[in-house]
Amino acid sequence: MSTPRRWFNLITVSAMLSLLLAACGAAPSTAVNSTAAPAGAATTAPADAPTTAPAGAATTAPADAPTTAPADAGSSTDEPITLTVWAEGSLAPVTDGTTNDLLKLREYAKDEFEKQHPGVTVVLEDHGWDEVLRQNLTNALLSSTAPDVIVGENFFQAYAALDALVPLDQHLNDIKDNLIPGTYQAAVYNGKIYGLSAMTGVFGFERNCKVITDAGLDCDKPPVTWDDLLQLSKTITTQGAGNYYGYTLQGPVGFSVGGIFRVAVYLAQADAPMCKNSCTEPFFDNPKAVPVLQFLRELNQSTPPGLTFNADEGQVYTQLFQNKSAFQIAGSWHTKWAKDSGCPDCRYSTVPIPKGGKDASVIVGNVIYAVLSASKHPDLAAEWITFLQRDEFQDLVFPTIGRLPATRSALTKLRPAVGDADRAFIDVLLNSKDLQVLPQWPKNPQLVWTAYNDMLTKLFTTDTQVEQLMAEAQKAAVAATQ
Amino acid sequence: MKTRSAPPITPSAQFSTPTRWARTRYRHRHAIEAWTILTPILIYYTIFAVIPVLANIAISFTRWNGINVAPVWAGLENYTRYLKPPYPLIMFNTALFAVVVLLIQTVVAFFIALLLNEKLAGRGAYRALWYIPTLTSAAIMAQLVTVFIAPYGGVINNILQSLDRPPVVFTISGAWMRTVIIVFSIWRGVGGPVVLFLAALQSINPEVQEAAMVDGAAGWARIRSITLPLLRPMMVFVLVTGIIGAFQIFEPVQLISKGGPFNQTNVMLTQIYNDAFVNSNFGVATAGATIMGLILLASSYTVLRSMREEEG
Repeated sequence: MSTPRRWFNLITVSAMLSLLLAACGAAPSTAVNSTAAPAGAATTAPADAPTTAPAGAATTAPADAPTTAPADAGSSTDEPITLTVWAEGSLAPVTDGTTNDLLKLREYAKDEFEKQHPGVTVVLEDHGWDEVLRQNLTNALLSSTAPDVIVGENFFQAYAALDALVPLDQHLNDIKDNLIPGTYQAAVYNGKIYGLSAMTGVFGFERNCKVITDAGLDCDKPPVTWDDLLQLSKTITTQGAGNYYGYTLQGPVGFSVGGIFRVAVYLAQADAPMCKNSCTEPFFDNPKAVPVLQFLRELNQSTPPGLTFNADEGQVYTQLFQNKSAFQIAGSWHTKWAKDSGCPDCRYSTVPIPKGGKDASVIVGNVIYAVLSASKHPDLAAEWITFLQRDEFQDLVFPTIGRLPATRSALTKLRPAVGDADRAFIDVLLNSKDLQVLPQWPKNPQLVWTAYNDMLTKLFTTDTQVEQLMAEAQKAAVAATQ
Repeated sequence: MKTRSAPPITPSAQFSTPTRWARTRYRHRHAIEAWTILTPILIYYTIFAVIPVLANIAISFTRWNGINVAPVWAGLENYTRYLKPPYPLIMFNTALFAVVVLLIQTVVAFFIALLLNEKLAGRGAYRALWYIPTLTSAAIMAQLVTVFIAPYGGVINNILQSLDRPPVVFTISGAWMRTVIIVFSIWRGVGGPVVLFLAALQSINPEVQEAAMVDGAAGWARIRSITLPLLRPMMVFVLVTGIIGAFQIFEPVQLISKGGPFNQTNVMLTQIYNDAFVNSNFGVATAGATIMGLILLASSYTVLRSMREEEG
């Protein structure tokens, strides 16, 4: 190519690139405008809702709560501030007009916070949960569009280790005693608290009285020990003759932790943690876990054939509501779910314990909020999180969406107002000395959980010695973390 | 070149003499047109293909969580990870699915196209039926498959139960789940090749077939001696595009098997996704993507080359 032509081509390409870059350069300003637009729209839309929503709560709310409320961050500047909060479904924008109760909780939180922080607009966004949420969060961090406040359940320690989160300890002096440690344990790293739960749940034990009485047993006497549970499950399965079974066990699927969550309850009771060294390393060959796995293997004999390996968690647990199973470990949301699914006589108690074991449970369905280091308004973001701990908000959680509040005062207040079923779960939250959370592996959690699930699959499908299975799982997990 | 020599300048000619810029413009008018047309798409490809590919390769030599720490040079560490369990098994699964799906899908598509090329009542409906799975959302189809293979209450197990046969727990059997993934991929992907083969079949001059019939060529002989050679260019296209698609199996694994049991259905694409977004390990994820790219390049090149050699 001749020199003039080369120059000409170069100039042409440069000109086109300049035009393109100039066009790209204009984008951020429009992007800012476009994000501001829905925020404004959102503030005007639900204007009348809050007047009805917080009414009930306001009567029971402590009077001193608002004194800690006003934000210096929000009021110290004349510039309008947008606080972007990635919220869990119950606080996220409602697209389904039928979920009025969800709307109440969301609008109360947003409108009340904005009222107490003039000039601040709270933008609540739903970016999914679990795997989808993690993907969206990573994308947002990579593209510098991360929010001020993030939501989640089981990844905060890893983010805190990377300095991606702001510690909240300095904001918690007045409220820490009112928090239930298990609810924020998943967000504690190096002794600092990086997130607080806005609503929570815990595992208890569920039984279907129709199935139990059909099997000729007394439903007023729930199993208290593992031996009781095994014996009753076997009897019910025998009596059922293929029509109903003793127990529902959620098994392993890929690297999903749904089944592991329930196994963790039994491990906690046997004081057999699946991690060591401040829960940073897998401990899948913990000798104390041997009787737990043997117990689960035996229990699996009393489950509907194949159900343990059903990938659909909802389908697994609704079998009890459909009179196919008598017992199962249940999250605190099961009380409402059972009623909605047509189980009129589903009852709840504490999970049976092993000989020499202790009463323990695992926190689940825990909605934790945390402040990202990338937040433009970290103090205001921290205030949002502490705002959700106030009684005015916490008192609304159960009546509106049927989830359990996360503070001691709200749970204590709620306790007398609910039925026996919900009270059983509240008691676990209020009284249990040992509320645990699942480990958060710092490296390759997918491979580590796959190793554990593979062990469970072999446990339920082979006769291989438990110790050998545990050793294999430990080897695979250690390899994954190195 | 006398005709191109500059004419003597006269006062009237001064205005008609082209400027230097105009002459350059005229001389390069084809280049201008080409660049004007190509520049936007080149910029597009540079931004959305070239730069990401280069960035991917660069990141694959680093340790990076994608969250807030800058990438750290790691040399070949991420590539050597692919030599340790479970990555060799994952690569084997990927190759197994790619080869089996590609071969069966191509053969099945060819024979379906042959059948659909026949004049029969409701031909349009049959063609649509084969193409519907390609257009349907993978999530919906995966849900349908899950309903069929559910270990408890699934359609297949209900049928087995009604026949007094023991239930099959598909989800704990590597062989069964691999079969499910393969069947799903073929079912979902066969529509595209069918349409391509059908188009190629319809472009064959009927007189060629008629001449072969006159010469006594029966059904299979006609397919082998007339149809297949004439479809060779389309066969190459289907194989090259098919091999890329077959290596990129993702949805059935992500939505049906989650890679289980025992990683026996886990494939490179799902592992790349998990390494990036579950394990926050972008170094390993991008190394996987680079390896995958190289495998695809090599496979496509091999298929193209072998086809050309045959033609030659």
